[in-house]
Amino acid sequence: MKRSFTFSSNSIRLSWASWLIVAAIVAGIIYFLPVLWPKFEHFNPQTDYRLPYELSNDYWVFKRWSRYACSEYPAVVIGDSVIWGQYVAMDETLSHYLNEQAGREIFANLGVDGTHPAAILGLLKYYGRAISNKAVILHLNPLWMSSKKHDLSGEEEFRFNHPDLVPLFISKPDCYRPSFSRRIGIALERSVPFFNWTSHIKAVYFENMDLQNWTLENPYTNPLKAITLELPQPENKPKSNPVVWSERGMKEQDFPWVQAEESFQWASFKEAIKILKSRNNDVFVTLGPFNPYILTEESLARYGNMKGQMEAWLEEEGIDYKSLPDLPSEYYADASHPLKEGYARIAEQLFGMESFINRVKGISSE
Amino acid sequence: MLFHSWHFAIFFIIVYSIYFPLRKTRFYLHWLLIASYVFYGWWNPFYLLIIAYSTTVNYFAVILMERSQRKKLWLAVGVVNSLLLLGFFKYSVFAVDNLNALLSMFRAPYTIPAPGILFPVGISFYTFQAVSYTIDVYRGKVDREKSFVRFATFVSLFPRLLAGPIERAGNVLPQLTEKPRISPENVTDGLSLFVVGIFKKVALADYLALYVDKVYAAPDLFDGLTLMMASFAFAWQIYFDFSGYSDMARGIARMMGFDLMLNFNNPYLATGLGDFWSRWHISLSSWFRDYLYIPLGGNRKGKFNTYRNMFITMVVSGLWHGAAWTFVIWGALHAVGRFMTRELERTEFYAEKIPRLLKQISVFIFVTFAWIFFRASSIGDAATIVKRIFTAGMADPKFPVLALLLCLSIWLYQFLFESRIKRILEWRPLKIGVVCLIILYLVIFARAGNEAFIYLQF
Repeated sequence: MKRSFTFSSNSIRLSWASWLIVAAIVAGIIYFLPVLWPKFEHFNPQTDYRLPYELSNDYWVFKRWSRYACSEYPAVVIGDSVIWGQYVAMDETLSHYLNEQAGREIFANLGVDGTHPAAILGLLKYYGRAISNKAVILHLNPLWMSSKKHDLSGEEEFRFNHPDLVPLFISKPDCYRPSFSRRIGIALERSVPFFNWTSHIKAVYFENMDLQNWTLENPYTNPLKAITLELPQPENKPKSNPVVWSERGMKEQDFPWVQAEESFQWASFKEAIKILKSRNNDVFVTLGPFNPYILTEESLARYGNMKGQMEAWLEEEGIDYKSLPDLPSEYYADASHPLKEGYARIAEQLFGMESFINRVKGISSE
Repeated sequence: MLFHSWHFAIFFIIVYSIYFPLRKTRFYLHWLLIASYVFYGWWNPFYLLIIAYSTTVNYFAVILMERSQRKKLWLAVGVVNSLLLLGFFKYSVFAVDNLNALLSMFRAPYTIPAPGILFPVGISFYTFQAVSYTIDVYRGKVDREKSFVRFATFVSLFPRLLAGPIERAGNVLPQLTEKPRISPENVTDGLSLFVVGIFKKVALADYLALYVDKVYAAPDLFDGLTLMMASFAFAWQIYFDFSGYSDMARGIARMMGFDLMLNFNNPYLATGLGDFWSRWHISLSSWFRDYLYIPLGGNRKGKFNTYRNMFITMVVSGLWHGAAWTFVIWGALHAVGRFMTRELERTEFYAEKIPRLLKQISVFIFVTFAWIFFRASSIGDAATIVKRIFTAGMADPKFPVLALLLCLSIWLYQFLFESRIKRILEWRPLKIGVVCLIILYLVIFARAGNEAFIYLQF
């Protein structure tokens, strides 16, 4: 017997055919919108461009910048705020001085603030596919291995930079405990460009808020007008005050350090190298610099031991690298960030390496 | 496990992919029961003991009722047991608080310790459903269900388990007796209902909640206009929240081959309070009508008794919603409103001379006023809100224009739906366009995080 069924108090009752049309329209928009968006949103990187600081978590922009950089520059420099240039202006970063040494624009600054090695791995894996067949300088900031907490190998839950880039299910760090829904959301964002695009819209035009919260802050503003199609430009000034670490009142540190074979960050870094290699990139690793003057003697010894383990692995794997020598104390702004003189010195040190010069010559002749 | 969570999406895909091939076998009921218990136990496995106990007692009370001469005794056992269960878990804290207040009033030197009882989500809904079955069998309206598995599935059927609709045995048990037929129309209807429901919940109710929660958390800090806007916003929030849940529940059930009753029928288009209650939470108001109002005498014994019965029914309905005096006042307000308008609504003047829109707006304003007591954290807060609405002046309420436009659009849509030009809403490109916009709005702008449904606390 057929039952009578009161459908609803609205007319939104679609047939199969209508649902198919809806599915086609929605799928079309989901596929094409992120593809077409760059044609509408202005993005015009200038010399010494680096990602605007406030877009450090906007992986859509990173993706776009890396794609642009790979098409315009023969080499890219990847790393955290040391590469991005926390205490220096855009034209005082490592990539700037490398270009100065090279005599032309070769190196693009792909540094992103706060990207520890596990985040770099995620960044390359999910948003850095454009980085292939390139010369890559990959920077390792040892600060991320200075303690179990920084290494993400501790068990206590805490908030860290770029949680959306670390493993979500298998080999997830114990200290990272997002809800299941959150993890699914992140996984979708990584794999479906549309969702990454929606995060980009929120980050750039809605002050990193969802639309609802944004309208509470801006109750009478038309949300569509907020989408100006203009990306913020990076400011050509240091993010943090460029003062020598000792004048900052920083005290001596007794970092415990995590040994390389036990380190989650080092394992992630190795994985990042493998990914870059698998994409046919020519990888050059820079280890450090790290401010030795800030460490206690015992800590310095532990650091040396850890660094030795890393160097041994790089040599074993045949990866070209440079353990950057210590800079003068006054060239450091904190434990790991150099000041502009430090960057200039590092560039000189790299160009003092024959293998590096040959590499640059090779790049230049391509 | 909320309907708009990834947990539920995965749960449903697993359940449905096994249910679909099983639907033509006798094992589909077993599977449905297992799925419903997993769904419920996901909140807290302890809840399963309570629902299993409630199911078992009602099932055997009805068997004994049928076999015994003392039918009333077994009816009482079934009903009283269910109500005691509900009372224990839902009202013991309220009762102890009030007793302690009394003791303190009489300066008694001791207090009763707070019971610290866990409140099992959904207990109000499935208890009422089980009670309705027991009473309906007693009244001879439905036959005794012989299969325990079928009866347990009826009580726990997961789409409607947490917040209704409170179904009747006469509607659901026959559906569980047949093998479910799942036609393409079932799936498309289910999807249509679900999409509208999730939009109401995620895009509208949770949006309005951001404003309402902020204002109601500290009513002292806001002016009259802001408090008024927050109260109107809450009226829409609770409607979107609860009717969204009901739509999703009906959609899921429809996809599985079951038809659940309509629970909301555009209540803010009601032209009178009686009309409002025939459109708002229909399954509950009809439950109270059938199992409380009519047994009390209904409208059969003169005006005084009719109003008394109405008052009792509305106050009990208020108490059903929550163990607090604010809910009692909310119910009483509706009762008083009903007294005052019942006769008026029957006059020719009201029926023919007053414009329909004016009636709708008046009802909406009254209902919103009553919602203040429903939403406020305490009677003191509710009094503050009412007082400040009239005395605290008018500042910029900073109510988002987008939220206002969304609410107005929905109201206009419903208005058209009940008008003579309803057929323009049936225009296929319009329906397709609306659904595309709903889905895109959800995927682009929906907030991360899952807010629980308001009615889950009842």
